[in-house]
Amino acid sequence: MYKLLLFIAAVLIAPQISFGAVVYDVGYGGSSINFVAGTITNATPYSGSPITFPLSSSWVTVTSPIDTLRIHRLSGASCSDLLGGGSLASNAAGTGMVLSGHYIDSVATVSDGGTGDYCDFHFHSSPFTGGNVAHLYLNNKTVTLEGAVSNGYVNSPSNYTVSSGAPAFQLCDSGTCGTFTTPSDGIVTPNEPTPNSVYLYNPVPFNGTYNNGIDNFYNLVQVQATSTALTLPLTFQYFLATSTGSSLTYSITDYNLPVEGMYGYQIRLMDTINSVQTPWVYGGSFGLATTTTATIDEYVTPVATTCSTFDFFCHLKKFGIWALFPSEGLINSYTSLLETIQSKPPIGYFTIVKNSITGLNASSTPEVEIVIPTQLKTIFFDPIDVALGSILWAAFAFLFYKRLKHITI
Amino acid sequence: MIWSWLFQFFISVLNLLVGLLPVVTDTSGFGASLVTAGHYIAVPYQFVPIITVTLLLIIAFDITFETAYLLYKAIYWVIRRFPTQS
Repeated sequence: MYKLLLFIAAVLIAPQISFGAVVYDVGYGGSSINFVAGTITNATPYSGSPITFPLSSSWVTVTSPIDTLRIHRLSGASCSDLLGGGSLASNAAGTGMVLSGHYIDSVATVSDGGTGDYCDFHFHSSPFTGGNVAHLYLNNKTVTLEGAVSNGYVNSPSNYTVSSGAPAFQLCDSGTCGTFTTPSDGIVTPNEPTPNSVYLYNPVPFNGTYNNGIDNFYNLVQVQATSTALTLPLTFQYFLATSTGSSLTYSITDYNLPVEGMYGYQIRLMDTINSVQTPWVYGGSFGLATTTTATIDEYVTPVATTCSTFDFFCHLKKFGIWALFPSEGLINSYTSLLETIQSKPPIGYFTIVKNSITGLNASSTPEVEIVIPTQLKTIFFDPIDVALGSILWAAFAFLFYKRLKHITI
Repeated sequence: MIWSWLFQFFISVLNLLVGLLPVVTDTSGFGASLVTAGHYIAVPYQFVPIITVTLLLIIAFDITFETAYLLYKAIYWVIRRFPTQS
């Protein structure tokens, strides 16, 4: 609800609240997203809906004269590369960004003094008033924009709907566009899995930090992971954001990835109550060596630490590890001995019985198929089942107690 | 390191002794008989699952308990046969 109100406010009263000469500013970009890197580019987490600026598939009416579209380019194709030929902006009417028949015909690159450039696209025959802001297409260019989806991941005409609060661009009048504001809400910073790391076992931990300020993200951190072995990305969400503040942490440590290989992943926050979500933040690529789930039985070598000369307790710890911690060869020998004992008498007989019993399951094919009407089962058999089962358990408890009374040690 | 040497020695000795025993195999078809029994048990399980599971659990528990008790009695009987210092 808050995002919707802010959206309406930004459209209707932008000249009053915007800084500089910005007519329309959607500065909820957050972190940049670059889908060019990693295997996540091999999959398509989105489909169908085109990217629309600003925020929704409907048109937005601007009420002040428009001269310039500004986007914050962080890396990739240069501002001039984005101009022309059906690309981000076009110098031909009917393609690219159009605004009531006014198309983009030139671009100026303005340094942001640090991370990248501002690309100021100038509209043909500008400034102009009124009209509706149309869709903005990113076609076949590799560029990282603040708050927007990298074009390297987009294939025309299949573009993506950028959700509420996502894009960072400005429509400015004849004055100077302003500096993009850093959003204070919903910024996600993934820390783990660390890029280019290889995990030996499931589960792979996903954790990081996020800001949860004005918009309280009631729902969960959503993680999408994909690899070349998957046809669809995995989406799992576990962590419930219930508090507000900065540098909050999320942690997902119990999700087992299904296949081995290289993964790419991205993170965003969601608020399904208010239908708000942050843009995807690409976390990097990592590898999974096996889908086996690590258990406490897995052999783990204590981390060998380097002790400073006068750190007595550190040296004591290292000596304890050397003297007392079993070697991997010993653990393997012990495991092998257990397996041997389980196959030899007398334990072997119990093992055979146990394996046979555990091989049984409730979904075994019945020898005879009995078809029972559902109503008959619900009305007649289920109550009798519960009643007789309870009586049986009570009788067992009573008789077992009497049996125990006759036990002699 | 110290424990590694000690345990490695014990494990090696045990491996040697246990390795002399024959391997237990299911030549009597015990496992197959359980599977067949499972097919028949699945019939009443379709309409009275609680009773079926209850009966199976009670029977399995009773067999296990009585077997363990009998084993204990047998082992203790053997131990009592050994002469003690008097």
